Amino acid sequence: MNSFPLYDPRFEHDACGTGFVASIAGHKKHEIVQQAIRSVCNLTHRGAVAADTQTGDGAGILVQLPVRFFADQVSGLAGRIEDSADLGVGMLFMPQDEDSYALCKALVEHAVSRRGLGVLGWRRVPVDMSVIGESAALTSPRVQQILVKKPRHISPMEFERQLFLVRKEIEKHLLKTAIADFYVCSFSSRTIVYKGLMIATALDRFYPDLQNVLFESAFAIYHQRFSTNTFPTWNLAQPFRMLAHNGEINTVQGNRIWSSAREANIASDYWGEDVKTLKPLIQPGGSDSANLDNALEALTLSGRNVLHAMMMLVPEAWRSRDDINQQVKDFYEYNECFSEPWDGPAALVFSDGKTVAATLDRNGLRPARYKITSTGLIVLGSEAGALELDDASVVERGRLGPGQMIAVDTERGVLMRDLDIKNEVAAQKPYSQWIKNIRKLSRSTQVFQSGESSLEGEALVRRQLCFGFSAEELATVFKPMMQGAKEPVSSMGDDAPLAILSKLPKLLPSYFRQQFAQVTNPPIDPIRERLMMSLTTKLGPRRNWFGETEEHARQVELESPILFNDDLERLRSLDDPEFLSTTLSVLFRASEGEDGMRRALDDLCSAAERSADEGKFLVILSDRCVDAEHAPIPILLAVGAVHNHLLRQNKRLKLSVVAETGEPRDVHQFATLVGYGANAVNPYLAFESIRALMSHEAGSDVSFDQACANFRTAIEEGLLKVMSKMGISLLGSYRGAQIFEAIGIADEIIEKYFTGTPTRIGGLRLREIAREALEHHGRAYQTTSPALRDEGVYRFRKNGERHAWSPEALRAMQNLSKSGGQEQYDHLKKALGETSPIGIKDLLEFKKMSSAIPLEEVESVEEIRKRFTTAAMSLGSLSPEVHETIAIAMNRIGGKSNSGEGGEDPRRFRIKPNGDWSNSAIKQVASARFGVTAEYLASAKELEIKMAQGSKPGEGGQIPANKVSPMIARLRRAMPGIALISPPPHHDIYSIEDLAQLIYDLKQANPRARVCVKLVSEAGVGTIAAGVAKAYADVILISGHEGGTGASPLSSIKNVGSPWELGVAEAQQVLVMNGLRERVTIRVDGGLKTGRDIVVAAMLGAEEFNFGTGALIALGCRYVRQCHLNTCPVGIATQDEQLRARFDGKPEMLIRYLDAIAEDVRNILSELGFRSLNEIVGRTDLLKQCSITDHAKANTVDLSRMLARRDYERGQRVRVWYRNDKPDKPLDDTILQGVKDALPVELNIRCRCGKHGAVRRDRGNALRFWKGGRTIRRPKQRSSGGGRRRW
Amino acid sequence: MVEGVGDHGCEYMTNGIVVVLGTVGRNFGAGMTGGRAYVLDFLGDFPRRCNTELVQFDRLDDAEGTRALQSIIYKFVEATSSERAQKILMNWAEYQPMFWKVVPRHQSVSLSPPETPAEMTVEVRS
Repeated sequence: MNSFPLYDPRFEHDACGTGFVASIAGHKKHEIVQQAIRSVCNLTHRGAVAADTQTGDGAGILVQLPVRFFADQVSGLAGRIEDSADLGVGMLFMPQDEDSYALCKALVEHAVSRRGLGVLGWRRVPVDMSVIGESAALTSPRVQQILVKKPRHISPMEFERQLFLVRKEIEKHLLKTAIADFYVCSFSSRTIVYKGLMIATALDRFYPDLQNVLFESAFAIYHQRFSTNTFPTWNLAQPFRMLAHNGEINTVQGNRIWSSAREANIASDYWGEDVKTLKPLIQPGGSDSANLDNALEALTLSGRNVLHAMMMLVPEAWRSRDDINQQVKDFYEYNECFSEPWDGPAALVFSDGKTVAATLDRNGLRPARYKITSTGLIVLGSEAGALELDDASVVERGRLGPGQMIAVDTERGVLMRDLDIKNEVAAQKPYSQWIKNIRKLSRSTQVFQSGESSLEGEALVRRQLCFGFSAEELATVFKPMMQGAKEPVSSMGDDAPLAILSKLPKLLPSYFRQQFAQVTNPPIDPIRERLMMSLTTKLGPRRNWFGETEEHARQVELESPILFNDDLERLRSLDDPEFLSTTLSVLFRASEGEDGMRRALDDLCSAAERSADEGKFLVILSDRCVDAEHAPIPILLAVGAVHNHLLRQNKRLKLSVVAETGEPRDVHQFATLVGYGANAVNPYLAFESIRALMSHEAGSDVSFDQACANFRTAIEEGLLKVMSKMGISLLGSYRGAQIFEAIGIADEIIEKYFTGTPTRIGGLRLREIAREALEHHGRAYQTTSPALRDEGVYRFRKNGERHAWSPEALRAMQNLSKSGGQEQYDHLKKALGETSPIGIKDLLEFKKMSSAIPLEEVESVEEIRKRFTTAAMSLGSLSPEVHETIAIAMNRIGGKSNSGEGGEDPRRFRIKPNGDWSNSAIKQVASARFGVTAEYLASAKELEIKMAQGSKPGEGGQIPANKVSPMIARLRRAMPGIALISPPPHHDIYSIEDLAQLIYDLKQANPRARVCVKLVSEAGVGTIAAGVAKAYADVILISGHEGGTGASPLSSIKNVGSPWELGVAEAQQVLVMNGLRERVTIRVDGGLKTGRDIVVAAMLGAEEFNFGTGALIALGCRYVRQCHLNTCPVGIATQDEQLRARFDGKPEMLIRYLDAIAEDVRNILSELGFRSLNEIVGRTDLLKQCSITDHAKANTVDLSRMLARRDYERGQRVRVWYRNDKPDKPLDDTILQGVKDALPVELNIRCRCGKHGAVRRDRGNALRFWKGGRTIRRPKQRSSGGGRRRW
Repeated sequence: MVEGVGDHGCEYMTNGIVVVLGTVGRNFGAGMTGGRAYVLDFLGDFPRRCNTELVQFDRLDDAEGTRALQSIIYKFVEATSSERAQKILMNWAEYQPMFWKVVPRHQSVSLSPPETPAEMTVEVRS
């Protein structure tokens, strides 16, 4: 096991600043190189620096091969090459140690000569080690160049291909050896890359080559990197061989899978037999940008023009554009038949050595601005003003729009605009003609085929039971979807057990949780930005990726992946010999149990493979024929098994997979099926159920077909939302990308059927999966009078699913908060604790390693309470009375309350006459920035940036118009009575360095406040936490999936986000591993209820503890889940005047509860022999997993990865830094010095502070703070955050 | 006050006034629940570029609103010397029919009175 088992390098992210400088005429000049270096220096604020202040995350440039420079440097070279195209240079990072170096050198020479190329010699690249940081220097490679000569008989393009093959061969050999520190930066006769692990300003000092006047190029691409880790990785500095990327490829998991599936049938005349050498197409271990570079390179060298290749990989949102040529649309549509987009925020700058170009992703989530001068220079950058140009010489300035491209062809000396490029590429082949081959099936308006018989009465109920339907589900989930075409909305958190801990049998999808984007990449808005997204689904074989033929377009197109029965029948009976399908049954004999299921799965996989060999275009996995003897394999398992089997056999691209199944009916279930490879799904039993529901309800005003269409619309919109959470716009890129985390599935099952999905706590093996399927089957077919039950999954029901907040627990809490006392608290503990586990914490017990100490020696309740905070609950969701009560309570005990989004009444910033203070210590800054004023920020002790919310990470929110009272409108600077939308992403945070800038700005706006970043637990959250720590946050809040909500879609509450235990443990491991733990506080929330929870959380790594639901219940919440309806019976979550009057909570009630918890913590500490919480933070060695009696399923869980503890010698377990601030002197300080005398008298200030270019973007914030601060003392004066400043 | 915007202009807008003296990109006014926007539609393709889920657009009809718009453009000219804005003011009769006024649909009945000029912020892009 690795030392930090929860760390997974797959989740590393990086993002950056990038751009290029080019001479349009193609004149090679040293000046261009210099300008690019100057530009990258100006992007220093976009990069990250490690603790030694000199080790950057990487910087570099890509230029044309400076042949004159090499001729000058390498004696005798000029005589040995006839033409500048005859020289190829490999820029290599090689091992420092002599033995490995010699080995690598021999390997390279061998690979070169094997291809019939001549080695002209080696050159050791001079470097100045004194300018890089300590940790970069420790890992710095030996930088070598190999010079290679082009044989006479081959063309320059062929030479380029041979050099590429040499590199591929070297890389393949290296994968087999243990040498890790060898890397080919570039190996080309056209371009060369100089890069390294330094801050930008050190780039040309580290490489003196770059200062040589003969080092010239017609263009230069530059890049500055910011990554989430602190491990020195020289290779991941950019540019790569062809591109530099600012952003994040959200779809990379899917792209990797599909690229490897493609390797089976790539062919090109250019490669011939050498095509074998190209595999793997995607070099393992690379970052998302490196992978995209691999794909671009392979396509370009296989004969596509570089602009064409990029249009294919990163297409624009062409379906919704009306200003482009039909021909261009046809080109994009054609490519969709065999290549899925690489989607995500991206500003890409790329070149094949002749053409240099830039493009933006379909959503335009990264900026790219350019200027063209009268001297024929074009500079483009992801930051405005990266290069200072004389304004008089600028003849044009502009920016790329979403999906737009701009290019310079340095050979022809022309600048190419977006539409020119696209029209030219689209005219290369008769794409419009070719796409006529696509058979488009419009969606059916009728659900059933005419004459189809339906399931009635008992048969239907048995069938529903067999697939785990419940009465609750029909009422809660189906109704809103049938009637309003909307997913059901609910409120409060999920207090039911994790699927793996539930004693009830669960459907397989509930063991999977949706992944979502936070910080390193933005979610998108599936409602307001719907036109960027598409659910179009193409069925049929995907042909040779390198080729372009008419055949490629022979596919069937569907508008959506959700099929009515009639749609499926039409697919089955397409009368075309090319479109033949097979239906495979996914049933197993119930009597054969686990073995029967395993055999059925194996048979299914071989049958699917046979269908692929027979040239079928479609396999339909069907569980329609289920009966008393035959139970269905969970359809997700069947789809995952077939998908992964075909991938392993390199046959997945030959056919499409459709599921005809009774199981799926909520959005999450459909999302898992598509995410694990299903091309389309026919949920026949959902439609049957709708029919039955409608027959019970006479007089419904929608027809059956309409109700099913509504259901389909709700599912489709839900799918868009699931994709958008990950920032993915197209179903084609989401399909098969497996963007889930398994909670409670054994490694062996994942390995075989869901390959690559993160699973960290073990869980179900095939035996338990079969058992659960058979339990459902038994309920259906082994009873004489089958009936649907209400299992209380969504809300508490007697004899149903267990819920933490049972009526018993609610009563106990009310007694406790009203009167206090140990006895009451013990009641509460007992009611909450009961027997069966709900969360991972319930599987843990303390290991006693030292003897108990007297209670008096343990730190006081007062000390412990300071670590308590309350969750962000906004004034829109809570009534003002409750909001203030919580703030007063927390201020009284020295804890912190959180304002939530939407501002706070300035009158609360002042202390009341009785000494109480209703000012929330934590002020939240959320995506819509509602209520964020200078005064608001200045009034805080801590500023929290909400990146995601536990109940619905990756989604936005909305206060309906009727809830926007005059007060809320005033605080949010809006009009009363209009709906206020909070978008899913922060529109100024599309990557981690954007977050770094916001943190910096907030700290300028309020230098006294610490900054907290709120994240939601998921696999990979540790890596993000490391990035956030590097972005100078002081506190990282890890929210668990249980988190409460005022209103969220039901499927999000249940299926997104991981338990906090895993999130905290992962964050702790990754932060310690990176030596960043000492800089930040880890805070946790997600259903903390008792002292025991606090101690467990502390041992896993948390230092502060956040209460949401618990705090509300202490104040009288009855947990009726009506927050979203504005009808809260106790006046807590409502704006209704009459209901608000019913609220009778007092600050004392909350304090009593928190005191009881703190006392409980003290008792546990004294028993375990510790004097303070600080002593146990991160001490996972004090925890062990316990076994649960009578609960075989729960005991399949394995928490060893979570409990592993390996500290670094010099690393800390806890925060020791007082603040985590960026070590520099803000420009504002200088300005403030100048204007400080003017401040008290006049607001109209004019100041000249010289040029500060793109480096400093924080000016003005601190000034606003000081002014904002002043208005606190002088209440009558208006805050002047904006308006009257003039610079 | 700007002379052109890209995609998603005025997305999530809740309050205030936006004036665009030029082209807008796709998806204008998506999620716009408050305030209002004036768009000078040179090319006549604004109706296609507007996301009408929440908003509606009309020609300038009331004299008061028109005067308020003129005064905003005038202040823009003062602050930036924009040539385009000057040209528009000088040839108002020619340009007025090209303006669209965009407001949230349910709010169109009772518009708030125009904001006082003192509240207006002129932001000038460098």
